[in-house]
Amino acid sequence: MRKILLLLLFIAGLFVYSRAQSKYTISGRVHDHAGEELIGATIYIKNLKSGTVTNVYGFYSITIPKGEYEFDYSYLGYETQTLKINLDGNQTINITLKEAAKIIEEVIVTAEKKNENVLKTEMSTVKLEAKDIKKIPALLGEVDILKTLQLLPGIQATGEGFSGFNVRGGSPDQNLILFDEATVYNASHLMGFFSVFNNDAVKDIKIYKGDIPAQYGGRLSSLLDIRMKEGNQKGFEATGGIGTISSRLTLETPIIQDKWSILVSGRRTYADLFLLLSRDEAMQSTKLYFYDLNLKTNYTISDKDRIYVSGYFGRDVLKFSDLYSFDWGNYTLTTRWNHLFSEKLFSNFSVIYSKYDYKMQSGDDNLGFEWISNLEDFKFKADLNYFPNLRNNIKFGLEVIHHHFLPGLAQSTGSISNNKIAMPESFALEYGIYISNEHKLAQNLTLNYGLRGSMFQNMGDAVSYNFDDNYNKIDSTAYNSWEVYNTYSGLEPRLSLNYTFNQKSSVKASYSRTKQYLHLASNSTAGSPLDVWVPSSPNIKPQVADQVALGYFRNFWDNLLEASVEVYYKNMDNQIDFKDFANLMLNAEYESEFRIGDAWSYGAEFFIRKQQGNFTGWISYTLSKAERKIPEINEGRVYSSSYDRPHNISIVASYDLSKRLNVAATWVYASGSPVTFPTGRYEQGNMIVPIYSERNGYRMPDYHRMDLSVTLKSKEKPNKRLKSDLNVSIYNVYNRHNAWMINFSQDEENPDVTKAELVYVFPIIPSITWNFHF
Amino acid sequence: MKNTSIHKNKNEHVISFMHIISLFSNKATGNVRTNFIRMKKIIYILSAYIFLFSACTEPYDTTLESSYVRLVVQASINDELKPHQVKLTKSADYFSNTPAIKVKGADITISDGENIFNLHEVSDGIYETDTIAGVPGRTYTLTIISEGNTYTATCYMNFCPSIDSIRFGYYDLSAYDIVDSSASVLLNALEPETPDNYYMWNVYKNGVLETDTINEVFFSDDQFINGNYIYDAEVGWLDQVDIGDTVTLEMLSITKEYYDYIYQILSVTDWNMGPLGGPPANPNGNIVETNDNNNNNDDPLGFFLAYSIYRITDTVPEKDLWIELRWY
Repeated sequence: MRKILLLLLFIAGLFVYSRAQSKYTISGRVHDHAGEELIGATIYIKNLKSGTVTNVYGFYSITIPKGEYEFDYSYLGYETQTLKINLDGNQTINITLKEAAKIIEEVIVTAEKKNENVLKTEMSTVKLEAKDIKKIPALLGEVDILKTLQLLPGIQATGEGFSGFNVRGGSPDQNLILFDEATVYNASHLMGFFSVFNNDAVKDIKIYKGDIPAQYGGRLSSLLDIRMKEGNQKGFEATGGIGTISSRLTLETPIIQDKWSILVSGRRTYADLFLLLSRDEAMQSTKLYFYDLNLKTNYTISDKDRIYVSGYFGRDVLKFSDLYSFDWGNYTLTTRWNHLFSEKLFSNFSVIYSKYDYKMQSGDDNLGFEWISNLEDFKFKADLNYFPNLRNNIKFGLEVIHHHFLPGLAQSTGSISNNKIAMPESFALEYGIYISNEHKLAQNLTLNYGLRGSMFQNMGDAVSYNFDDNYNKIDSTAYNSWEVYNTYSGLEPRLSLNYTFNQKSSVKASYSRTKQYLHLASNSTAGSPLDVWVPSSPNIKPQVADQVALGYFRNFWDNLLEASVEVYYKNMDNQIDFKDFANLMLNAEYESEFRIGDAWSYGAEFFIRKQQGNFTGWISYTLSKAERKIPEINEGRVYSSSYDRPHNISIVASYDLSKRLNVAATWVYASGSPVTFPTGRYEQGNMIVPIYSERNGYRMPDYHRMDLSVTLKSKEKPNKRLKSDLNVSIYNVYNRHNAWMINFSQDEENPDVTKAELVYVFPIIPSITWNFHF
Repeated sequence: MKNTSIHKNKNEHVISFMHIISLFSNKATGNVRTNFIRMKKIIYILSAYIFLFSACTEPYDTTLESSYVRLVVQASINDELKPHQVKLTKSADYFSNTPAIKVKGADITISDGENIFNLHEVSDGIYETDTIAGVPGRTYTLTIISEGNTYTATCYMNFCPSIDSIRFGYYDLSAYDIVDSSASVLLNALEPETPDNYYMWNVYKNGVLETDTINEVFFSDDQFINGNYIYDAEVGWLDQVDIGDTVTLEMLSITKEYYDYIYQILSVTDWNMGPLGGPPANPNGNIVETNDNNNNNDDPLGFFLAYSIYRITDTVPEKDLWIELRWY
């Protein structure tokens, strides 16, 4: 750790030194018409044939010699703005880009720079815009970010209808999901059928499938960086919708024009309202709903300082009569302070709170029962971004997270008994420190190198169990508050390079090492709200992954069509599986149920996307393999990971028939997921018991499905502020009976007969949603 | 607990509702662990009910690999004076769809460390001891020599507490158009102070065993009732009873291994939750092959259980003497 600090200081020193010639800095932010900062907007200096992009706060900084320049500010879907700048001193230039008017004819794009995908060093990333996601047909009309991600190469749904996903053969718990920098531990509602992200409150979504920036760590497979909207700085704005199962409303308004804005967004489902029609009182008093509430405010103190506070509160509530209740949800609260130390040194300091918990209650005053679980984080983060010159973009910083784990506590609450079972409560500190540089070595060669140091410490109050080689408990040790009893640390190098052949094509390569100190103790493939996160400990080593990827990027038709091919190989150590019939709930010795081994995955991803014009969409195809080898599972033989889907195709298409009418369709295909089927049977206690052979030796039937949607927009009139659209979606158009599970059972009529049944969940499901905006 | 008469009702709401009730009534009450297992199931079923009410099943045609044939043992001994039985069969391919092949001509003994009891084949694949009684507190060893291989299993016979009384309970289903003639059997007994006791309960109606398959049997550990008096805990269910029927409740004191074994069998059969549960695996029986003469590792299946038993019989009283139960 000390070495890294020294290195940091050394590099920082280098940059101070390099400040010699008469160079000046242009810096500022790029916004849209509502004052919303644009992430990844391009600033291109024509004379220098070089440029930069805005960071996640819409900030850019360019240091170049004195002179006259022509600057192009551009962002996809917005009109490019060109500025002539006579540079003879440091300047702050804040730019507002206008949304491009929709042109009906297929446009031949002008000399705008839309080949960012070719030129940037980043690979294995995809960026999605909230407004593009809206066009894609959705289950029950609920626009869902996570389900849209599942249509991208290398990203696969964990199961039919689920918002859980796995990336490049990794487990679902290996995805770091950040909502305004706060970790979201369980991103799904209603047993996984919907995600917690309300699209109306989301500005920008970016997923990193391998080449995770050094700034982030803590998960092996991916980073999903979701940024909440800031709130309109210019005027009042309302967005909302009424759908088949939920309604939404988002309000944004400036409090002080161009300085202080606020956003409030809410969503609630109303499926349970139908239960009121039931004749049964128990059913009438049954509640089943979820809600989301997003709050954000940001205040611009000066050009140099800006403060953001954002929060998310979401909860699923299930109440069965007055005597059984179960609710769960996430809370996040992020406070950020952007500060410019100089035109070249941008900084952001964040204090973040996040929590996932669930609570179950039953019974009355005499005999009650309560089961709680929670995971609570406090995080401090400092991120600095230094722009010494056009060739280097340096990021460095650190983060400290304090985790508090209470995986499970069940106790009687009534007056009659006082029983209690608990999984051990514990605490941990997680540290990260990093530095990275995006370095343009030559006009056509850019290197992005970074190093992250991470450390994890288990702390008291805690009880740690010691197990023998057969996973039997020997004894346990208790530790006092703040007493560190176990430390893991490691270096995580990240490296990527881009060699550009020409403006149309490039080749990229990356290597990254990632470490993960928190694990999901769940052996189900689908995931459930009852799943708990547990820390690395003396019994559970951190997971480690090394990934290499190579990609070829090529744009066609003047950048109208983006295409890429990427191949990757990922090796993962200390991977977690569980012993047969593992008991992970309310088991104090849950660590003895873990079985540790190796996993690896490799594949090729093909992606073609068209983002402009009336016809937009993409085609993605992934060919992959994911395997595991864990000594005590499957008799030590290699077996397919439950997330191994060799072939995976997604086609997304959207077509504007007229200014008002849009049709969109998606088609997905995936090989069936590996599953364990019985091969034999025997009789026991008048039941037929299956005999299983190989773990994941069979596959579910192939999955495929087509969805359609039609969106009709209201007529646009110059003096009418209200814009609305009506969306009709049909999920599973050709009503394929996609298997949710294959159930093997004994025939009720003839007990000697065993049969297999396919259980499917979603037949054809139409839905209708009305969206408005004013 | 299966209640086929109600399951056949066409009203989907009722089916789901009954499904929930049946899940609740699957195990004895008064215990945090069983409570939470129920709760977990309720949640899955409820979510399934509300959102996947259209979840449908259809026959699925698949071919499965062949599985090698293994010896399957179903053996038990208890502390009652009677012939004790061992049943030997063979495992088969999953879709074999014929009754299991019986294993004839085996040499079987049961020993308690002092005495060795020989078993005689009374019919094909069924072997019995002479009329003897096991003694709680002893460890029993089963030895089978079949087709040249030797298999053994050992099991401790635990002590069984006595039952003070049984009562009958019902659920209020007046909101549904159901003629409810079912009854729950409620146990009143003092659970002994020794920890780690495991129980299962059999129910007889008019002398006929109702709980003749594993998935109909109630079972429980004593983790949260240890040393306490058990009041009106639901430990049995009868599909259909009439006032005046005689009902017998048997309480079996079993071992942890057998308790786990039943649990595991149910996990891969009736309680199989597909992707919501973990991957299926083979239940762990206690039969071991000690002398493998044909050298092809036969992986014997099944269980040899030694248990002690207590039995009580009562007549079903007028319904106003029954206790109303709530499924929550």
